[in-house]
Amino acid sequence: MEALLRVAREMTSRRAPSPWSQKAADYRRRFRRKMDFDQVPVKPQRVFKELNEFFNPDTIFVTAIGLYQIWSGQFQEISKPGTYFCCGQAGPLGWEVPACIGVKLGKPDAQVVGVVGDYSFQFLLGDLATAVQNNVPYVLVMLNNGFLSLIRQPEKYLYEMNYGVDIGYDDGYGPDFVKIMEGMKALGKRVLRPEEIKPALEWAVRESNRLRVPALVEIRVDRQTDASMGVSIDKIVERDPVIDLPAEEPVATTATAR
Amino acid sequence: MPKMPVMEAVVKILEDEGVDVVFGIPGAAILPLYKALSKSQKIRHLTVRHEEGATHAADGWARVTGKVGVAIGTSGPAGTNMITGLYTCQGDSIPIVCITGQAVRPILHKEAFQAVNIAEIAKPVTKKTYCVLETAQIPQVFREAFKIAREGRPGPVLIDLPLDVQRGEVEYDPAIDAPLEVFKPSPDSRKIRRAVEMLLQAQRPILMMGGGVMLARACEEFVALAEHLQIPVIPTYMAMGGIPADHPLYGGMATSTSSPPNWARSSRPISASSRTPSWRWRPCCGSPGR
Repeated sequence: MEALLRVAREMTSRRAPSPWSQKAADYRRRFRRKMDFDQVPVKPQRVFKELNEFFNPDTIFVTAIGLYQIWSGQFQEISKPGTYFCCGQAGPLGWEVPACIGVKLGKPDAQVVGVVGDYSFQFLLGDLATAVQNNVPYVLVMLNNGFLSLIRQPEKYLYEMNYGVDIGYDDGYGPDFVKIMEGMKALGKRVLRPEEIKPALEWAVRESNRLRVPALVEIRVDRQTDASMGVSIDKIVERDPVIDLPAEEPVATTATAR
Repeated sequence: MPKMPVMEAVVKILEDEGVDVVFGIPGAAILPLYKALSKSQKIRHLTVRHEEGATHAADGWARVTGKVGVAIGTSGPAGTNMITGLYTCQGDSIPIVCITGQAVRPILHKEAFQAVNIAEIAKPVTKKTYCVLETAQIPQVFREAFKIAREGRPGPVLIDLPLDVQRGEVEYDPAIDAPLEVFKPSPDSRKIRRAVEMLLQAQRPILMMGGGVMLARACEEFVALAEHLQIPVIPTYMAMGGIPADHPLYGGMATSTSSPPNWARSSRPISASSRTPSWRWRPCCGSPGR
């Protein structure tokens, strides 16, 4: 990168913004996905609106694999290197609970937040005890939809089935995750309504740091929401409302830049 | 030359390599290492509840510190439980060293209790594996393992230690030992020049930032390049945060938002990601907007 930068500087003076380079900001402004749903059960997109608004840019996020992670990639605004860790290639379920321990110990002053699904959380939850025993505080934000929803989605659209992916029971949301946390002598709180998310996050950050143990915010989200996907970048299928703003008239700065 | 239990030499090497926390589970075939570890003032040990957790915790620690993470387990299932974590680190280029105990040398071929050939099993998901059969080789093997984990494209290394080999003594003086130097290649200036030429000629160039830019701690240089040439940047998952989400050149992560985003028509994608995402069936993402 140093060499590329040096040679680029040798070969050209700093270029002015072009109509092409301005497309990045233009597309980001114009083509949006709706996040401010206020329905119950909570829409998953709303969770990320709350995360974006609540946590400061130094917060370190950890996430593994599932629809929750895809939504995280689509909706979370991350602004600093080294503040977002995702197990990109292998995608091992369960990564977050132990990975958060390592991240927190490697950077003890950072606020660490694991974004988990209900299934990934169950995968390696034994290491919550490791975190409690060793006083490693972090926050887990769970999007609970009672499904292996990353697999439910292709089953539905590609195979027309819903087989083996429903892991919910009783009321559809499966285990009592708050009791699991409390059983580990960690902390847990359940959220059913969008307006409860922010106070729950405040509680989790405060209490996990005070008691030096992990704290879970379980958010019961709409069970059927799918993520936007497609076979290539110009064939994304949107499953929820989008916000398309009109193009602005070309502005003067563009003209002068050319 | 001072003589000491070889596992004490290993702990001194771990300390010298910058390790201040290790994740593992003691077991009968790794207790000589734990005996030495118990005397360390510099290294904290966390007893995890599953060896896969040990590898993921070491992975997380390595990602955030930039140092080499360490996970420890005994023989048999401990090592096989680490395979997923090794694979994760291999895929994402994360430097960790896994240390496993092993049955004593004379019974390695006898299907003994918890004796499995972990060095062979782990080979495809590591940069290198060792089953060390000679006590005197252990210090050098550990130095080499840390070097290999760090060098070039970083990744995982596994060291398997038969119990009788762990019990031996070595002549070792930490005062004359140090981490091995890592080879740092310098780029071919002709290729660099060609890449910049291509970028300058392109009508619709895009820079794709991959996880290697993060690992190299080169985000600042990358963004400076994008700004100098005024080229939009699309990070992969592994590079999220490499360019601020509100930067004018931030193009969203690897693709679209609502309508066809036209990035597909870019005539000149230049990738700083050696493994361009293969998840084409969900090339998710894009700029969220609040």
